[in-house]
Amino acid sequence: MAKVYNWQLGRYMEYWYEEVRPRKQMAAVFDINKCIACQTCTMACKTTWTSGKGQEYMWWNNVETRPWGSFPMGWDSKLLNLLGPQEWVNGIYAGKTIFEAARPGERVLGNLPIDMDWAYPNRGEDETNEPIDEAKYYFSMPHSIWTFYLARVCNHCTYPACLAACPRTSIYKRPQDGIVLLDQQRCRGYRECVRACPYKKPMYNHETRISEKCLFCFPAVEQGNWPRCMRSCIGKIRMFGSIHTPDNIDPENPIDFLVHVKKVGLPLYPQFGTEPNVYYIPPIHVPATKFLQQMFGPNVQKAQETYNAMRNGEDPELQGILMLNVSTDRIFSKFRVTDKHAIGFDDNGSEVVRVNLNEPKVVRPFYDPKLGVYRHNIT
Amino acid sequence: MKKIVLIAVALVALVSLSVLVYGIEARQAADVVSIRVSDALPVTDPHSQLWSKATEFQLPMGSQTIIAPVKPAPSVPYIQVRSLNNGTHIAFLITWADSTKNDRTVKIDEFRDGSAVLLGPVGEMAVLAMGTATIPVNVLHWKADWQADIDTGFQGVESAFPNFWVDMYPNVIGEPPYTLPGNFSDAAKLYLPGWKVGNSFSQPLKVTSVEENRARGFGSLATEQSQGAIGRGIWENGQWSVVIARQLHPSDNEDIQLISGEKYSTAFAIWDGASGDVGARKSITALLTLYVQ
Ligand code: SF4
Ligand code: SF4
Repeated sequence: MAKVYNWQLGRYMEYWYEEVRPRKQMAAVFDINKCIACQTCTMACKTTWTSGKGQEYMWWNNVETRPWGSFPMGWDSKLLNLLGPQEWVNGIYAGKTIFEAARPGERVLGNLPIDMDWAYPNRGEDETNEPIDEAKYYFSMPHSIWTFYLARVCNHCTYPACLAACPRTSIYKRPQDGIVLLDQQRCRGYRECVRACPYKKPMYNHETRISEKCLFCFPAVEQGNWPRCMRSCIGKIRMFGSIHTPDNIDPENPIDFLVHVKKVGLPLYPQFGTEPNVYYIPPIHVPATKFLQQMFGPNVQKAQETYNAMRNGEDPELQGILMLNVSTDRIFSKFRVTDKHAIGFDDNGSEVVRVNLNEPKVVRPFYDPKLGVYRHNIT
Repeated sequence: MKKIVLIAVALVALVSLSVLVYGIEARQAADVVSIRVSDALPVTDPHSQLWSKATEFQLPMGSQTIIAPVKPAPSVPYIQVRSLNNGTHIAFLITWADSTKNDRTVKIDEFRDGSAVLLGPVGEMAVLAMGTATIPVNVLHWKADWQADIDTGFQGVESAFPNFWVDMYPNVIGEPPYTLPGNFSDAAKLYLPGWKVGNSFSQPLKVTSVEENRARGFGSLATEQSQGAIGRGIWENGQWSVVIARQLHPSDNEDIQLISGEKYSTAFAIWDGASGDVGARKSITALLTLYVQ
């Protein structure tokens, strides 16, 4: 195994291949506080990529209710059990990754979910962490009884476990955008990737008997457009773009700003060691207990504080960039926030999108004499 | 004490095996001999009387531990191999004990039983490493689920989930559950990417249960452009009997030519679907010598 640097762990770790970072890495930040579990993203993906025979159970994008929901069932808790208790010490991961904890003769620590595990994508939906037996549970922040929605796609990891596990190198990471793809001609259906991916995003096709995975809508990305799940997001929770490593930050880049500058975007289960490239703004109504820390690493509380300060009007720039979530289909690589607007620019510096920080308010009279009607909605 | 007895038994077995092998083909000193006959070969009949003309070689199986993922222990202690050729074709009969028949790979955790013959130039250790860039090897891979597709028709979603229902698929014609390939127009095929791009695993109409592959090192195995191998596997009373056959002198330049009176490197592999065997997770023989009579 080679030694590679994983900045999310703050240390070097073992990986099956040498460290080769793509020229550009596409990434996303999901603001969990805004997700309403409408599943529009899920259906956008389904209708685009997985409506064929053999793909019935496939949800490359899924939204699960935490703490109980998970697709496939127990994808994370099963692996966490296999991995055993691990620790972070002063922001550095002191435990073992799934590569370092691999059993002898295996490349990755993993498990293969069975059919029944994939059969309940909505299990645990809207179930809270504890039974609600007291009406006023929601009056304090964070809530003692909580729930939150976790939208998931493939993380197009810097160190993909799927790629490391495939003995046939059927999975590859594109140098131009870091998108991880599974070659439909080379795959022989071994399911090593399904077994190895800690996020369980490669899936086996019943009918073609080979595996498939989320492809970050690469044909759209190649044309400068956002992936389908991202641009259809009703709750506007998503930001899509490229990310740099922490030693190479561009503070005007939206993803760098959220992940590296403000540090509100956190990786999902960084301890697995794949350096996932979908980041999450943790839910502020959920206490920063071990559950959240286990899921998003040791910086959860800090991220919640920064986000809360933004809600109190103390961080217009952060507020501004979040206004640009799902504001255009076009990928923008830089942003600026003025008094009135948040603006996104493409690689050439041309303006791609501009949104008002405050929507203009129009109040119409309750009675419309011209039509002779009363209005129900006057704003 | 037990250990010594075991070693003694193993030694006796080894000696008798060598006596058997050397007694028959002492001059050739080969591990497997393909006997020349003048008849048409029983390429799809593992139970043909003709097989009695071939010498049976009992080959010990080992675990695949050269490259991860490994198979820590073999699923069968040994297999029996016979081979016949008639000047134009060569056929192998491989038999092994397997208490479960695994011939469906529709569900996510279903893996197939299978067997394979590796063929390469003699005296090259690299053959066991699936060849090198300059020493390609051939692998003839028989698969139980392909056999079932041929014997009983393509196994689709409905074969594993009989109560499954679907209203429609894009561009499909006919009635649910919409079977491959008949109900799928070219436009519908687009939604089955493996089939569309020509992956041999994803083809609903299988013409053979034996896939011809070429490899140039670990992980490089690829389905050959031209497919000419045939065979048939039958599972009965806890035993697989599988015939794998091909031409001795195919016109396909991806294939190694097998010439009478010559020796080749060979090895055999067995996959036990019930143990989750797939790809590198397999039981293998040592690198052996094949003599084509
Ligand atoms: S999330 Fe899983 S499938 Fe996606 S790149 Fe990472 S390891 Fe591979
Ligand atoms: S579309 Fe957006 S808001 Fe709706 S479930 Fe998906 S991520 Fe959440």
